Amino acid sequence: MIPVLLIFIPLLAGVLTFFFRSEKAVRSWSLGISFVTMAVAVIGVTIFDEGSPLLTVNTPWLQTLGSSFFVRLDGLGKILTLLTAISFPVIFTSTWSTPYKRSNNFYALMLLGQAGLMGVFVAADALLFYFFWELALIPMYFIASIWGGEKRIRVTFKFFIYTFIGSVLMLIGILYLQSKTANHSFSIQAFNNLQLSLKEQSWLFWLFFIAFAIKMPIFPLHTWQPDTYEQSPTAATMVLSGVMVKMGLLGIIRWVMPVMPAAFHSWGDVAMSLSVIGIVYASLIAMRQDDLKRLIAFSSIAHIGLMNMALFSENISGVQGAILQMFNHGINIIGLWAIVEIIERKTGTRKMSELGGLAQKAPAMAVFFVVIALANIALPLTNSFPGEFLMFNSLLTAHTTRLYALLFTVFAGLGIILGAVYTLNMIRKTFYGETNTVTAGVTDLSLNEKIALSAVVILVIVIGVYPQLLLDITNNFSEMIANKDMFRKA
Amino acid sequence: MGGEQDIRNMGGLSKKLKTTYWTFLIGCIAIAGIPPLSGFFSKDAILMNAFANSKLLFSIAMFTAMLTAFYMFRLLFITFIGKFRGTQEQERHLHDSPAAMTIPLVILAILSIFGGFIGVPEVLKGNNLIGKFLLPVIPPAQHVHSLSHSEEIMWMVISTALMLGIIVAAWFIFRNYKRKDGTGFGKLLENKWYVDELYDKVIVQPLYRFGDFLKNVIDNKVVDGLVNGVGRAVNYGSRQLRLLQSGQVGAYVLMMIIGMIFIFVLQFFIRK
Repeated sequence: MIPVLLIFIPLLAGVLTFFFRSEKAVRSWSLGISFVTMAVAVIGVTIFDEGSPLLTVNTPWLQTLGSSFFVRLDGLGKILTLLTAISFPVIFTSTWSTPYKRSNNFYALMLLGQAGLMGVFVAADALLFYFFWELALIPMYFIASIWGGEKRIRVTFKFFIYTFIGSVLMLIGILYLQSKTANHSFSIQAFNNLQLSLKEQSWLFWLFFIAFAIKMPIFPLHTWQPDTYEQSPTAATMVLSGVMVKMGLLGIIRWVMPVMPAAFHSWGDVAMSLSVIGIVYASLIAMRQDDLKRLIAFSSIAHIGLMNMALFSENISGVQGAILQMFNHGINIIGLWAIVEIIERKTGTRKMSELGGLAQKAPAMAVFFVVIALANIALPLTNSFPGEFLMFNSLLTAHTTRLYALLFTVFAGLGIILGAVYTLNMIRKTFYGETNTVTAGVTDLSLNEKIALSAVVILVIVIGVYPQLLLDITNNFSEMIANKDMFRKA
Repeated sequence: MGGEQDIRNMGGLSKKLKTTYWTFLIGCIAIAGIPPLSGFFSKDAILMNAFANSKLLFSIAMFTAMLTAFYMFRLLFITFIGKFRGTQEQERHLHDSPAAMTIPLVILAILSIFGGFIGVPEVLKGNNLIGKFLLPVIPPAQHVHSLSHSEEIMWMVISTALMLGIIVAAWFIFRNYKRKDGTGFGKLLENKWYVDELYDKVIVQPLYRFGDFLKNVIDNKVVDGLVNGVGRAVNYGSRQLRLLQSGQVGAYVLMMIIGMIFIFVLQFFIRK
């Protein structure tokens, strides 16, 4: 029941939002709905155990095709639906004062996007997964192309084509897998029970991996991302980077690791190489960015690359670390975007060379920003630290099964150092130094912004101090993925 | 001092910043290792153990202890003795810190006077409380050559005399300090051995240039260029293919036949 509610509350509310007239009503309604969704998600995650019938729904849907409406909340789904459910109230609260033309359409599309994301995270039927994958993508495409920046048409067109190519490749893979199952079913159990040859697995692996790698994104399929993040309205950027990139990682964990374990293992070195190149490459580029949005976009590429590497190290701490970090990355980057949005609204610029001295004018904003930025570097006691620790642990353990794991670890570690370089530089250039004509008139945060950012900072510290809260939720799931499925070589 | 941190712009502050001066003086004496202040006992314990194990380590430790005494008193004299070298504006506003800072200073100063008595060594009839306290964690060193008590006392006297000598030397060199830029070795030291510059040249700048190269050339031109190139190729291809749709029925029939033949041939090959 819970996963159905998580999908249909935002879906129906989103459709209704199109008919709203008053802007104020739209905002309050959307925020209210996002709180309801969050309450449902928190109940679903905390109260019910994995086997509970309330967390699984399986009803016939397109029976002739072998597809059913099969959704369930497992450990991974719980973490990601929780992330989605927490993100939207934070996004709506922190951008409360941002004006939008035809705001009813904007908020309606945001809620539809949330419904799509929830669907992706709980779908246990491949066709349903594909359906929600597109449902999540299309509202974001419209938001970016209608409410985006100057170059929005060109950029969002590229974004759409890019991700759509990935989706189509994945669809081919899904259809092939369905044709191979005993009773032509799309359900995840049927996929998991398939026994495929290594050759079949290999090209299926690439069909899926390219789709997911575009979404994450993995080098060299990343060029849509900085442009899209830069041009989208910040609320959409928050959804894209905080939640949507996790679709790619979820795809790897749920649809690739257990279904094509042999190819997953044998192509792991290539995937890891691409990830590690991406980490160093994106970090070096981030170091030379002047635009705050582009800097954070490249920083995100580096962080996602590390999560992907951890998955390919094929052990439980890699899976646990990556899932934990998926949640943390979402929280942190939404916090960073929120502050970038506030800075841009107050000063009219995102260029670090034009900013400076904001800490004198907006001390509360500076405190929030520094805490979240330090979480971005994974300082101990911030939420990213346990995640990063688990992931590096997994990379170091992987050297027994992977020839180059040690080398990869060294370069991934270099990415962490570069991460500190560009993040601290960003703090210094934006918040310290002397004020100038652009920053002299800046005022501090308003109440709604303080509330949203406090929520982020509380999560940063609580999870940093006690990550077991989240690790316990995913423990069974990760163990199942790491032990039962991954080492089942064809 | 209004944000000033450069001691070359200070001097003679002892008259105006009395509490700061006295607590700083006590700190300097303690850190130089003059008995009976706290620094003496800790320094002495380290030096004696070094002496017992390696004469070389002992000499290095002794030398750096002397350097410490020298630079601490240099700092003290340049800052608090002599004439004020800052602006008149700064001179008028000189005053001690508020109580929130002077009270901790006084507490720390008292501790650095008496703190050493928790670790008085046996040779001075002390009971070495700190040693006993740490015993469960750090077992007593197994001396290869233990020092006799007379040797130990001799070294205490020598090191104290050396420190006092260094302090007197610093007094003569720095009591009338005048600002001048360093030359030769002094300049090398003033610039911290140029380590920052070395890092900048060898690591920071090349990395920045490499980052710029990746950003401007590789990412914008090569990777994104390839992506956009695919898009352009598709556009170009469809513009060319569009020409086939000419409206001439004859051409359509021709193409239809070519297509059918192609499919037949394909089927022939696939059947095999």
